[in-house]
Amino acid sequence: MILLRIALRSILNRKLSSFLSLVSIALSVCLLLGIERIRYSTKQSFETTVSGVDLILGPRTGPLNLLLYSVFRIGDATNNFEQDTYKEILKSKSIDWSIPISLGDSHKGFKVIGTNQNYFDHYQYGQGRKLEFRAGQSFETIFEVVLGSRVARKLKYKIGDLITLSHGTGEVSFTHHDKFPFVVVGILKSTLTPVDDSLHVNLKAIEALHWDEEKQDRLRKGKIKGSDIDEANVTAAFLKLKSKMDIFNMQRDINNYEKEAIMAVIPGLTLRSLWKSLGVIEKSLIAISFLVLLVSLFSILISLLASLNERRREMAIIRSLGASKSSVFFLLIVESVSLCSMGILLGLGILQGALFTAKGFVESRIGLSISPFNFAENDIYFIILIFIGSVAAGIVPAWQAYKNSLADGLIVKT
Amino acid sequence: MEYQVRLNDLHFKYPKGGFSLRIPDFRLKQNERLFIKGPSGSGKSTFLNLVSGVLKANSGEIFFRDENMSKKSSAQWDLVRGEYMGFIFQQFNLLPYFNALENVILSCEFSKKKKIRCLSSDVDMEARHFLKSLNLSEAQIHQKVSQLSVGQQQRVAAARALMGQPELIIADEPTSALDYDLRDQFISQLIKQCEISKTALLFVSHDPSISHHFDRVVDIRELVDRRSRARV
Ligand SMILES: Nc1ncnc2c1ncn2[C@@H]1O[C@H](COP(=O)(O)OP(=O)(O)OP(=O)(O)O)[C@@H](O)[C@H]1O
Ligand SMILES: [Mg+2]
Repeated sequence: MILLRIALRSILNRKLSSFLSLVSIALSVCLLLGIERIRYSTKQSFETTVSGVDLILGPRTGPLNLLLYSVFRIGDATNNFEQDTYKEILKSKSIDWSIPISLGDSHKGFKVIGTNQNYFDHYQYGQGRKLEFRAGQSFETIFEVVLGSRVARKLKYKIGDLITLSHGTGEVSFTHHDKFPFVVVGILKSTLTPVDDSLHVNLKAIEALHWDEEKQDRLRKGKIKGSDIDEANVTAAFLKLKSKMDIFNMQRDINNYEKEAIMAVIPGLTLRSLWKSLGVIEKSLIAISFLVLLVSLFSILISLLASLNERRREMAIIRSLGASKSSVFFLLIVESVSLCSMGILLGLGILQGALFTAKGFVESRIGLSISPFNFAENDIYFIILIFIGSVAAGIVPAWQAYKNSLADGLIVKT
Repeated sequence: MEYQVRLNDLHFKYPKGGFSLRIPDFRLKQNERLFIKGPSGSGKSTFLNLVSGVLKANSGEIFFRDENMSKKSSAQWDLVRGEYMGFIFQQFNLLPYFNALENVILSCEFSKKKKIRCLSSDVDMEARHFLKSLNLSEAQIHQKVSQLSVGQQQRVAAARALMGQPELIIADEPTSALDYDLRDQFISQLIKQCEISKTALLFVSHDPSISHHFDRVVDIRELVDRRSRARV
């Protein structure tokens, strides 16, 4: 106890060097745990971009490719598959529900998704969260569009606005469907997934978008009825099966489908393997933060070691008061550990503060949800590791102090 | 208990360096105040380190409070040092990051026995008592030790050595950093307090001008064995 008091006073006495060590430990704690937290949150939100889906159906291509454009809406869908094929697959008794999506159109750089009511009824993200409307409701006619939250916010659209869609997914598109305006009928709540960046219209609307002007004119004048329009070809579909047991059978059946080249992937597995392929970045970030930690521990070691010479007399004094030789050793260990503990606390404080302040910003700008106030298991391991590191950093100066004190006895000659 | 310290044919040699010391017979009576003089390098500090158990003799016997300590471990010596001894060194006796009062109390924090032996109701009052009787003012008691003069620092060190009724105070040239007037004053105050608390004093200095305060004066060269000295 008295050793702890002496250690704390001594740390306070060497204000500048203690402060620097403290800050460097705090920063490395921040970095290590911050990276860990971001990694954890990213992985979490990544792997739950879509949830509650057993299979993703699409034209035969690489599984990652299918995942990228169907879930993340990254890149251009290479091709569609026939409505007939889709209908044939849907006949399977093991399918609970299916969400078809048709990609290939855009609006001011945001993707347009052709789909149906199932999208709003069944699509899930995170831990089984359903889509909710911030305003309005889902589309009913083919002239209606539902906006993702970011689309509405970025383009400042509100319910009742008229917008036009363009063919192709580029920002600047030449074939504007000017004659074919859509009215905004619904705006979704933020999900922090690619849904926020999408515009949703009826599958039939996608089909009608690609008609010639004359036919579109007739549609607008009501000469063609909505019920007469075929649904557009589907780019991909999210399938939910009645029983998990059927997943592999269903996947095999789809992959072996003969009339058209289609395939099915299990999103969870594919998401995880995609995450793994991004793992290099993750690992190098962690490696860097470990290096920073190592440097901070060395800074403690060096500052303690440098202080030892002027503290020889201090050690002799406590020895003369009856402190044992090992007390001299432990005094230095206690100092190192106290410095580290304070650094850890400071670091955690800074980190929580920073995450708390940055939460809103990160969620709206990067679309990443971070939860400041939970302790992941890894965090505790890291803290224990830093703690052990601090003991280790104390050992060299402690041993040196011990040797000095043996040589000096009670009478220090310097 | 007859003798506070008794050495019997004690031999010591530094593992590195050629200096060795043989003490055929040395006795310090209980409550005796002894002045040990001798030129620089004659082994006075070495002798004190032996008596306080910090250095281990190669052979011979050492008795403390009539108990044979020759075979005792360094941990046992640590206890004895904490419980029965007080120390004053030449300079820088105090921990710089505690104030004067805290420095004095420190000796009771390392030893429960010293704490129990305090006459006042608590260590704080006891420490104030010694600081006051060594002419330190209330303001000085709470001052950072680095802001005290060397003479004041030495008196704080003396107060700490006196805390908790030690049986032996070991002082290694505590006055050599003080000027002449202060020396006399410091020593008479120290001896007075030792008399009150019946503490033996082993005082080492190469300055013979202060030796008249003491019960007995010996030269370290008389203590050590002639034959061993001839070999040095
Ligand atoms: N740690 C050590 N290792 C080897 N030799 C030492 C060591 N410490 C002291 N000596 C030697 O022992 C001898 C006695 O030293 P000591 O410090 O006891 O003298 P002293 O009488 O206290 O001198 P001073 O009056 O200058 O303090 C010296 O010759 C010194 O060189
Ligand atoms: Mg000396």
